[in-house]
Amino acid sequence: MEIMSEQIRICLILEGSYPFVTGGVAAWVQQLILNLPDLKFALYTISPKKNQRIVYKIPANVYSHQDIVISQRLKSDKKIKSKRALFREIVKLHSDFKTTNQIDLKNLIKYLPMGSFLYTDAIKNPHGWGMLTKSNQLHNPAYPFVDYFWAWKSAHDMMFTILGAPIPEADVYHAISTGYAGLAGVVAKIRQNKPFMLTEHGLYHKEREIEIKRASFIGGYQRDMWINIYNNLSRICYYHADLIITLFEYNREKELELGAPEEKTMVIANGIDIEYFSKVKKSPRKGFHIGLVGRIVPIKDIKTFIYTAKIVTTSIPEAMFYAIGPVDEDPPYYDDCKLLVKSLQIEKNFNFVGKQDVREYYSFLNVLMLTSIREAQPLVILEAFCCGVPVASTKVGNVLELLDYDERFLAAPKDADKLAQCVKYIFNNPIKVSELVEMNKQKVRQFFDRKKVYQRYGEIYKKIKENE
Amino acid sequence: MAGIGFVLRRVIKQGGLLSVVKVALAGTIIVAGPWLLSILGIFFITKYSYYLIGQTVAIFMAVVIYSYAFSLFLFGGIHYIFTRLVADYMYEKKKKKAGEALLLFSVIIAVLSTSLSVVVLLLLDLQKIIFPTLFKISGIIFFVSINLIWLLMIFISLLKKYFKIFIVYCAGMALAFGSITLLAKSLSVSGVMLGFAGGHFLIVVCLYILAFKEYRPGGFTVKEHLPYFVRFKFLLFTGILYYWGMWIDKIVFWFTKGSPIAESFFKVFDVYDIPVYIANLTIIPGLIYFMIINETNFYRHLTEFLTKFNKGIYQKLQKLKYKLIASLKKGLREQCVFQGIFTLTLILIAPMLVMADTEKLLVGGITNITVFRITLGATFFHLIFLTIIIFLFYLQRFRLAFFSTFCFFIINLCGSLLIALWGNENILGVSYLAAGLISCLLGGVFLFSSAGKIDNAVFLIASGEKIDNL
Repeated sequence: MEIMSEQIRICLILEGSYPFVTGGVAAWVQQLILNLPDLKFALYTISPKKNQRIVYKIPANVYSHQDIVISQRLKSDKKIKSKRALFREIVKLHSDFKTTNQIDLKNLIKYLPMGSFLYTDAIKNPHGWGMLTKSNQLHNPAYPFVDYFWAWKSAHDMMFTILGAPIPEADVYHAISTGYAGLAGVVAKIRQNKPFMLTEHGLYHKEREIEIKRASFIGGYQRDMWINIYNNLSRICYYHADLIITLFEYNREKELELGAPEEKTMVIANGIDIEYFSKVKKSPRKGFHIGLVGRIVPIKDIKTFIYTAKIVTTSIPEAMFYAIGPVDEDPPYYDDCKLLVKSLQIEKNFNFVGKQDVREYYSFLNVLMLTSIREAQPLVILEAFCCGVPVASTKVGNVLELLDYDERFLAAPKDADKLAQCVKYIFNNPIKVSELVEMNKQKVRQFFDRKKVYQRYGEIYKKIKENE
Repeated sequence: MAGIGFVLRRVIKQGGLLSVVKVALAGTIIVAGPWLLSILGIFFITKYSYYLIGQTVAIFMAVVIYSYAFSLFLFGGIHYIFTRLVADYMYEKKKKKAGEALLLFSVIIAVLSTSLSVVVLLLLDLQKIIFPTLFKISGIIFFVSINLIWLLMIFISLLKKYFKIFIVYCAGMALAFGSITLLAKSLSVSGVMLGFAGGHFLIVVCLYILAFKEYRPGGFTVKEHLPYFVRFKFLLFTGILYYWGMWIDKIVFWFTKGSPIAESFFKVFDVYDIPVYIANLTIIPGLIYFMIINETNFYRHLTEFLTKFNKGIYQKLQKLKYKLIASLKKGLREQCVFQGIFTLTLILIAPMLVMADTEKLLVGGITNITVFRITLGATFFHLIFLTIIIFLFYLQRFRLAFFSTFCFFIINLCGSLLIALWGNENILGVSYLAAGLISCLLGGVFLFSSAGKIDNAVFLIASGEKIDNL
């Protein structure tokens, strides 16, 4: 793929997402690339395993794709000239984490050439080993050192991979999250001396924190260690990013709390294809139909959707529930969900329909439900609004703003009773709801047009390149 | 392999004089069986058969000494790889694999040593010897047997049947000396060579029976075992350089100062060969002490460190590490004291040994007290150096052991060349002494630095990296 010299080259840095995994962020990236055909894109992806199947059709303006398997150890082919200086920087970095938000990686990267990886240097180097053992003595002296070592190593090896990994050539580096993708962006900025911008759909460190707290195999001090690492990765990204974009105000405030410089932050909400969804014609079906559009994965909390279905069907027997989305991402969870449907004896009212053309469902759904325990700015709500479908949702991410803090349609995460009440309200108050539906339709068409969003990104890329 | 040491330690704990005698005999056979055989053989022939074979005894002596020297000089590295391979199989309780390894290495050694000895002996033009072909064939059998005995010596430490091994050695010696007595009169030196080779061959056959009875090979496999040569290349080179270092001064002196043996290209240098040979015997008690006490103690501490490693808090690991280092220090100190007493006593009574007229016991005898004293000192450091590199092996620091043995070899080579060119006879062995002393110091530094980093080493290996990078 040839690169036209006058075109700006954007390197999108993605972790566990596009083009291997479907989902809101991945779809957003695909549309970003498609909607900016004048720009060239390089994909720098960070994957948990190698040879993953690409599930999106890669657009023609993507000129390269480099995938780094985060769990795979890469072979060092460059020598570190001054390990003493490097370790001095590492010590300083760890001290900075405790004292300041200005966590500068510039010197560290200066002493760590591309192609050199620090996987075992902490064991081999007396300074590194001293740091490790001192940290263990300070924070976790009562735990077996072997456990501490492996926890430390598994956390740090992934960072070492990113710090030494080769970087694709580009004019602007754009990470679509903090974490390892963000770290890769920071490294790229320092090594290539190019601008680095960050778009956070959700808050990476918060999402990881939830996962860590839920994971039974991570306990005690290891939990704190991982949470600290993800927080610090975000802080590093915020300090180095030239521009930090988030989807809604709440998340921006959270970024500021973690040290993001206010002048670098801005909100650009997500948009949808208004033209595409405006074509949906309502064709109501007999009965009462409630749909959830999303992957069948724990973070979407499909189980709460099933419990809600059980509660609703006791008072509205004709209610039909549809889980609309791919079922193959977490098969054990999907199996659990199917079992739950069976054990609650609602098989007749509940359907897993798999990945579908959502417009077909929006044409007859009476309610779109969102039971996620964590979301950023869920596009499905915008899609439903655009198609005239009322929404009942958990209070996550930007949902509160989108639903105007209207408690009639909101419930706390995992609160199936409240969600069922929301559904019943919609069922019992069709006139009031239809007024709201119309209002939301206008709001989406006016403020959430995807084309405008991507145009704005195009302008930002040009501006950030010019200011380089 | 500390296995036999533990067995003998249990025996000694039974108490009583008989236990001590048992352990002393078994230990002697295991650490120095072939050496003793050769010394006793030479002693026996010098004392009882000399009048029958006359001056031709020199060619017999040369074949015996060169066989010993070159069996180790050429194949010593293979012995180290074999030891490692068998130790791994024993740790994994793969008895069949251990038997297969013995079979494969025996075939390799037998093929190589036969080919080499055929070539060498073909070059000899033995006109003054009766039945020269018989002498040559016996020489080949002897060289191959010696090579196989070295291999079996490594393996028999697994067998734990030290009494049977002792009987085998006695039977071999009885056959050798019996047939020498019978054959020397009719076949002269060829008969002596045949008898001596026959005794060794009997030992080889019996030890194979003992070994394969308990460790029957599952088949003949090559692929599984040979990668060890690549994986443990530093161990291989350590073995090679150790034996090169041990023999290089003798070889240098043979070919620069030695006297030629009639009808052969062999040369010997009695002034140095005999003191070194006798001095080497003086480290037998030290080797037994190492095998039974020192090695087993260290192994126990190392095992304790490794087994508690997974559960211990950092401070506990440090304590275990310092305990291990302390056991190393204690082991080396005790080894020095134990062997030092023997060496010092012999240095002091050296004039008495010379006055005892060793010429009547051994061809040439000890003629220079200074050289004898120097070689006694050299073998002392040699033993300590051997102890250090074995400990380095336990710590998996093969590269450091390699550097130490390289130092041992190069100092002995350069020193002996300097002595051969410019030195006088009173300083023969100084290069051997200096090589031993300096290598001990270097090896000691490597050993204690490695022991100090044993926790790092464990993590490094577990992280999939080579310990040599530490």
